[in-house]
Amino acid sequence: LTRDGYLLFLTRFLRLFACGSLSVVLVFYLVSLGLNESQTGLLLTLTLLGDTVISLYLTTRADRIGRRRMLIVGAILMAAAGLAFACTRNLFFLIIAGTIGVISPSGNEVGPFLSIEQAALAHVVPDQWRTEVFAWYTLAGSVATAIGALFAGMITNALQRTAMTPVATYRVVVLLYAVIGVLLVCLFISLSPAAEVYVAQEESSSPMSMKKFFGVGRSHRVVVKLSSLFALDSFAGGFVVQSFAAYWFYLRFGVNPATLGVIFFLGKHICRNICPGGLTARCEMGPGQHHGLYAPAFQHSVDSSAADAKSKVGCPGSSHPLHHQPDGCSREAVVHHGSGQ
Amino acid sequence: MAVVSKEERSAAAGITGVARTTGAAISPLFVGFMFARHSWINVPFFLAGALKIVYDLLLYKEFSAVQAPTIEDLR
Repeated sequence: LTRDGYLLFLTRFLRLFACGSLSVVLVFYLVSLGLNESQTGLLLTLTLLGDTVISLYLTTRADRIGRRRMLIVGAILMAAAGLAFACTRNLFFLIIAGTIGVISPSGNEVGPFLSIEQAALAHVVPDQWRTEVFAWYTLAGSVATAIGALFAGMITNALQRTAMTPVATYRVVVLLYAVIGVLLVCLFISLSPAAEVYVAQEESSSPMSMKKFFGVGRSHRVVVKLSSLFALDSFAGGFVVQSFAAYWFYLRFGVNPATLGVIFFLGKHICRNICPGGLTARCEMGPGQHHGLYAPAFQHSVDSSAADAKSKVGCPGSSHPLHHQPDGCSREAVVHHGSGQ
Repeated sequence: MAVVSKEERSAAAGITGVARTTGAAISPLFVGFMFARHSWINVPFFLAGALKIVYDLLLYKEFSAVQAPTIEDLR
């Protein structure tokens, strides 16, 4: 693995560590700032919508403006949002910061990072290692999320013993999120231009795919159908978004963040890493049938790096939390296997 | 067997991706309202479960006929 490869692993680890730790305390923090539950819900919704728009904007332009620069912008937005959340208790400012900045209430990846990073990673890794590297890449991410949750629980607990108020301890985690954002900026800056070379070939195909946005041609119907199904699915998932689920544990059972850290650590570790790990292995071993369960994010890279099935990537290249699950694998398969010739 | 043709895949991935994140973004708004009333705090879990089941059934209904391609298809 090249230096860029290691850098991309490190940035993913740090980022998901930050997301994991933030997701445990975020709603606790907002509520202890004086927001009520409805306002918190509104804030989270706007945060997520904002993130969607921002990442759509950044990822569709990444190829033209440069991946490294887009990643840096994303990291700055993350740091800025963290800082803003730590500094204000005004709902209006929180909403602005949450919408423009990158804040993850779900403990999962948000923002433009994942797809750009994957495209870059796919480019700096030789074809024959790709599957393995992406499997590790996904594993690193979910381990980081789990450790982040554990860490957030432990640190708030430890700090609360030292006479700090709960709000202050949650704020420490929010600040940590911002600090990691700054760290990411530095790391992305030190990424070598090698990660970008790929861009030149992609440039022609990307704007075209944007033009087709509403006219997906003959696949139009199936795309509409799939989109509504996926929207329904993630709408359902959004009801148990991690930061709210954490708060529910508190409302319902009076569980404190320290214990929650442990719960999420164990839950994530077992559900994400052990089960889908086996699945990924199966995807790789399956005789042909499972090949090419690649995710949208680096569709380009996989396609263009020859149509050979060697460049398949198992489930790991997912851009969505649910893709870690078998379900996600198969439904990507529907789209991406489609007409594979 | 062309669910989405090859040249349309990245557009398809983009659109479905946006649909997904938008879907996930809307629900916390409702969760907020539910958590605000103490008798309703368990409702999000039931809703999530019920909607997921609906999703699974619909997905099965719509796509159960579709088969994954073999390695030869991909060549």
